[in-house]
Amino acid sequence: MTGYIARRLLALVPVLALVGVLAFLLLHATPSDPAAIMAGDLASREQYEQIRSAMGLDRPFFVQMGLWFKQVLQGDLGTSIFSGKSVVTLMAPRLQATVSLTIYGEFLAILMGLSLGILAAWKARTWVDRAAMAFSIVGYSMPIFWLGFNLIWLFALKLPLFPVIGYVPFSEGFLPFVRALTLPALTCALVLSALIVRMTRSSMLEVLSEDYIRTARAKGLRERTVIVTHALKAAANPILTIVGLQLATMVTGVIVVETVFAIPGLGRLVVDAITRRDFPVIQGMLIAVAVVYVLVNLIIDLAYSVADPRIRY
Amino acid sequence: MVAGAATVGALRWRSRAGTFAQFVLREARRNPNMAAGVAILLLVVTMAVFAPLISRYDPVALKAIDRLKPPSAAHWFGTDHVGRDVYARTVYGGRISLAVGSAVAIITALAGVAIGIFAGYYRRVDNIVMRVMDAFMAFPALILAMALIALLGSTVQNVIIAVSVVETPRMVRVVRGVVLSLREREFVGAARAIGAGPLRIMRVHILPNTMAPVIIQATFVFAGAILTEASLSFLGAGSPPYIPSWGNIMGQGRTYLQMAVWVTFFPGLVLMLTVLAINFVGDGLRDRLDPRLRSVM
Repeated sequence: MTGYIARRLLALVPVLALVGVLAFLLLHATPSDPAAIMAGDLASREQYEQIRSAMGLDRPFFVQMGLWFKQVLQGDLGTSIFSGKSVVTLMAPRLQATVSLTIYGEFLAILMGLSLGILAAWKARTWVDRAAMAFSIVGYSMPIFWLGFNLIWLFALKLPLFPVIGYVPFSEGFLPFVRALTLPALTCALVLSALIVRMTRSSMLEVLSEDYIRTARAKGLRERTVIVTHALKAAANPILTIVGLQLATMVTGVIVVETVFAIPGLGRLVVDAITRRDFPVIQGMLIAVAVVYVLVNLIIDLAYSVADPRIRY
Repeated sequence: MVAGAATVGALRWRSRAGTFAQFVLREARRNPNMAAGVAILLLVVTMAVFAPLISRYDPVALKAIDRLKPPSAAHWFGTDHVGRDVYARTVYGGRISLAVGSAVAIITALAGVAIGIFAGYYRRVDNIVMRVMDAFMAFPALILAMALIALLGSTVQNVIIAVSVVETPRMVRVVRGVVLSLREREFVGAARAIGAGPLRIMRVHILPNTMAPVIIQATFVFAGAILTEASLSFLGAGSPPYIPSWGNIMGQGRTYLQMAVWVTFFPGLVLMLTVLAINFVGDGLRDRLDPRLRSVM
């Protein structure tokens, strides 16, 4: 196991190096001049030169690339041109909102997705199954922000159950925190659960036709025990994959939801950086999210053997 | 021969099997979801193409006296905050959304096939290409697209480029996977044995066999690209605000959610129905052309 982890970590090096190169090239190989974009139309020649040298764009290409890698490897993701603060300092206070939303959203998604998926597989080819599948395909055909609007309109404006927008930090009490986060989390969950339902259903259907399920039923186990203990455990891996990938790519999904609900999270940071053309922040975020993505993928692979003891590394 | 070509052929109309109308009816009965999808899609495309004939209003004409009017006989979807007819804007907006979706699907398919076939056929290329694709896929799609648009400028053309860049790696993976198994098949070995060069093998024996999965994946890219364009426009990094697209109509309407929910509701509903229709078509094509792909896509 340790050897396997070491090998996998080693295999990450080239991918991460490429991620770094791509993030670097994004700014330096596109046919546009980031310094000019950032300076705007009204900047003087001196201001433009100043921004250019502040970004290091006046140095040779490979020197720039070398400096960029040195800086990233030291854990420095760059400095915002707009605020002058380091990207890491900008990210830290926004982590709570994004992580809370991600966990809460994924929790609801698993809750809905698993139960609907199991139900659909158990009652395969009945109206229950068809309804669950309809829920799923509608779920991933919807623009997530539109779903957010409709939920706001229904559960905050027409029925004032939840606040319309905004974020209440955890330090101001658990209940207000959860209340403010429920609609955004539900918005994420409805879209995320669409895939979980599909995956759970197909994975469960496969397992339910196996011999040992027939054996379990034949020896008189309760249907609940058969489904939950025998079938679900064997069907867990594909579901685990989907959930893991969703967690890893959540920042992207969350960008839109954070914008809809005006939540001060990492997504807002990116959107603001993009409207301000604050390229170091964009680059830093790209790197940070890519690293998280790659690591989560590794953790999923390791989790397989926990869920399914037949897999050994 | 060529199993894939035969499976694409599974959906081909042949005159000896009856008239075209009979063929369509038979297919529709076999897969009602797909038939519904095709019907909705045809309707939306017709609306977008004949937009000037369908809407009575100019989608960009301001009329302050008609601000935020609810849906009525005169304005089916109501009016927005500057008195523009939301129905007219939705009909015209479909042009941008469908154009972006189809352009991205075509570019992605072409790029994916070209890169995927070479990567799958030459093992040495494969290692390098797939690591680059892995790196691309590690980036969050929406952030990468937004960053590209920020660099290139907010035009419809650049939105197409950015979304294509984001969608291509997945297509490459699909094509490469198919090619990897094809190159071990007997008919490829036979072609090599009679002296066919690699380019000929790729073009004549491998390319046709990748068509079914490529077409299926392309429909899902089409649907995904429409959603991505909408998200980009909503975030203000998509098509320019003076050209209505489904995304930016909703983006501009969000401030008025409390007073005029129709400005965001209707364009979103049309968008959802369109994407739903495309997904139905994609699912239907997959089940019809290549059911083995069910677990992959």
